[in-house]
Amino acid sequence: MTGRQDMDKPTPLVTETVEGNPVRVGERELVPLVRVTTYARRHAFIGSDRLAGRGGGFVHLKPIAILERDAASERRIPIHDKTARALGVLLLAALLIPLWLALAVHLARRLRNS
Amino acid sequence: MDKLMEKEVSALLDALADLREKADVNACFGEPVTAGDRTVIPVAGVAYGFAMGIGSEPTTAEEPGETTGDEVDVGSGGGGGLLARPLAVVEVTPAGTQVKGIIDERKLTLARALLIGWTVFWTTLALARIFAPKES
Repeated sequence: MTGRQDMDKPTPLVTETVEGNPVRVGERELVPLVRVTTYARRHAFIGSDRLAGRGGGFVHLKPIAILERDAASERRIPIHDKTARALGVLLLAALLIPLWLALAVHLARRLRNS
Repeated sequence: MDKLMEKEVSALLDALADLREKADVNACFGEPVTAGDRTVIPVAGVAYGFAMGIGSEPTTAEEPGETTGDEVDVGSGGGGGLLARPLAVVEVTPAGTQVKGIIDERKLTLARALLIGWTVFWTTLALARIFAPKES
């Protein structure tokens, strides 16, 4: 076995937009656009009497648009995550409600004391 | 055994090296379904993750004076998960192409219920503070 070696190889977080396989429907060609985010990390240890390796990673594929191509033109149709948007609005409301109520309490106390 | 373990560790590291190339973007789009003059393509967001590990070290003697020779203890483990969530439907008709978003009503209902509870809590707290008796 080789001497002590310790290797840590993180693959940086990479995000890129990739075109998928086109789908032909009639005279139109639909090309999916997907945002791909990947991250991986690998670590290995080779010692004189012991050996270890570990690794992990994740991949996230998010469709962002459809390119519609026909003989005359090309159109980009965005794909929105409506559920995430609605949840975002509810989260924003949850953050603002305590602030508004704190302001209301402050104003009510000032009115009462004046 | 050591060579075998080194090969195992190398295989583990190599499997993670080209993660980006192994990701198939076409997993987000389903098979088109045609009914009459209308074609529908389901669209989903996909995410997956995993982790694994392997290691070996010489066996330690259980009793003083006991010899273990060249015995080696080996351990390994791993886990992963996959999530696919419907996002939208692409509808192709002679009039044109439309993307119709999909809303997860169950998640929204749960989120709304939590927001109502959160609002009731803070409103009760605010009213208690407003109508609290004045300290003399």
